[in-house]
Amino acid sequence: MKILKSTTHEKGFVLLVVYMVAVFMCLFSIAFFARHQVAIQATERYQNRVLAFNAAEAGIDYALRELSTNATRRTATATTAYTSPTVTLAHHAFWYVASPVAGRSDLRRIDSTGCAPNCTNTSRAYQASNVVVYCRITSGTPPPSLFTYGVYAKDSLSMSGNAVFDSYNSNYGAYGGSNKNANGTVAVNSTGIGKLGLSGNAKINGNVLVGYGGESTVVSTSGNAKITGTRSNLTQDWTNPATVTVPTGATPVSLNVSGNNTLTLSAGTYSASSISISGNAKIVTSGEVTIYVSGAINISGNGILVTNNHPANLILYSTGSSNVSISGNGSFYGGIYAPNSAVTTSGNGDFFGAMISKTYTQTGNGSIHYDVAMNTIQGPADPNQTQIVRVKAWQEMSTLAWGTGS
Amino acid sequence: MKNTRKGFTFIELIIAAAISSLVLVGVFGILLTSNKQLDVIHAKMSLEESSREALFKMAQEIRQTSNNKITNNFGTPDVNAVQQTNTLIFIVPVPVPNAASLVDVNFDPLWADSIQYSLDEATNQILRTSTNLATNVTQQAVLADDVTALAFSRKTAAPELITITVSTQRTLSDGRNVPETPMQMTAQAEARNP
Repeated sequence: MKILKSTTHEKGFVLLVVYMVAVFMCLFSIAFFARHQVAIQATERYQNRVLAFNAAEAGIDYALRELSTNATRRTATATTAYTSPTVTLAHHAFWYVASPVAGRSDLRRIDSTGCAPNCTNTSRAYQASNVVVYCRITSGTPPPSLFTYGVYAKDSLSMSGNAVFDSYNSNYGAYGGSNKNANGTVAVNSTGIGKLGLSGNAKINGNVLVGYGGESTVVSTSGNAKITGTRSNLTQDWTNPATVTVPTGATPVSLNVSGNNTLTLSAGTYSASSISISGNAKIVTSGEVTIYVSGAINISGNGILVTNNHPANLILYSTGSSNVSISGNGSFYGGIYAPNSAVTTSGNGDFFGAMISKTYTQTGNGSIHYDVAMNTIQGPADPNQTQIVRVKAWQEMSTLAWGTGS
Repeated sequence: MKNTRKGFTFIELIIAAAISSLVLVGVFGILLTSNKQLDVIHAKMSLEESSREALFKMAQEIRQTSNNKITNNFGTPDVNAVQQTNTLIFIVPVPVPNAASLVDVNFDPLWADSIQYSLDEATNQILRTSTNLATNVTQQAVLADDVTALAFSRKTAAPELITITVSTQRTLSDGRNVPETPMQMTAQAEARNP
């Protein structure tokens, strides 16, 4: 007991040394972990910065795909900005704004924001990245040629009187002289007997096509009617021209003129409920004019005067199934696209251009001169078709936030 | 009461001091070694961080350019159809873009600066030299220190995809090289503009 008592009162420095060592070890550990904590935070921020950029790029890709495949989005963003909802991924998120570009309906601006670990800026090691892209929208597949044939009728076609069908090329000047050929085709997509009927002195200076599988009986000729070119069939995969709809942006206009009135149309795209020209009235066009008509088309009187008598300067689309009638003694220059309509031409006036109809009936002495230059005119693009969206300019908005030196 | 307790003898003190010294030397030795190791770890972390930062900055700027705006000659392709250079020169759009001056009147990028990345072998630094195309004003900045090698490579089949390789090594005050062989890091950047 005595020894124990004396021991408890002894003083030494071993404990002090132990304390000192412990303190040193603590300081060392704190310094060590503090350094690593900084490194870990820096690594986490870097990782999130990369993730945020990747998310922003994902937003751009997402927007490009939307513009390419979503016709509604494509149309809406032509006039109004669209803000997407936030798309949350495993460790990052993005959202984007697709905006119209003033004066350029084919362009869009996409502002994409990517953030990591999410889009709450108080999150640990939060990082954001912004990418801006200007992109151009173009048609994926060019629309097919609108007027492959001089005259196309879905169901039946008949020509009588002294009508002559031949061809010319308006790019080489007016019809006549050496610009007068037999390079056009008259086509009827039917296999019924006599669905392509020629009578009187009707003459086709060109080729004839009838429906796939149709026999020679599809074509009937009587009197002095004559076909100078070949007779064959449309291909098996041939499809009838599609019905068109009035495109966005067409200017509504009334095209009913009579008496001695004259209506002038400047270059552009118009929509009308019908066309009626009678008496000495006329419509004068300036430049390339396209008219979408939902009702009947009756062109007589002095008809429509087309710039330079160039058929490609006037295209009439019938969006319904009402009749189309061209009569009178004046010539008509233009293209008629009326796949669901009965089209008739009568009188002594010639028809220069090309036409698509459900049924076509020609009477009188007026001839049909197919303008082969119209073969290059493309039909209206399908608004629901997938479009090609290509990046025109790409910019990362946070570039050089780190300085440029001196 | 006679105090019968005896104090430490001189020899005991000497022995105690010797033992304590040994303990302290051991402890400080451990601390010193640990500190040196910590320096190595810190140096490696620092090199890694600075390399990563430099790679990020270069990749970020290269993304802004276009394949046809990379103006320097990459040299003859090797057997793997890979071209390599140690200096990269390219043109970037407006360096600090804003909503009003992102693109030109044709909605194409506003090409503004020529950028050059090169290695200064005297100082072991990656230098970024920018020249404004309109004013010809040149600016220079250091992107990273302790760099022993810098390379830019691309495949001839995908010239818009640039691979950046940075090698770093630091010499500590006691003459040790950290790491013993240069640390190599790579990043890839694709020129995004058409």
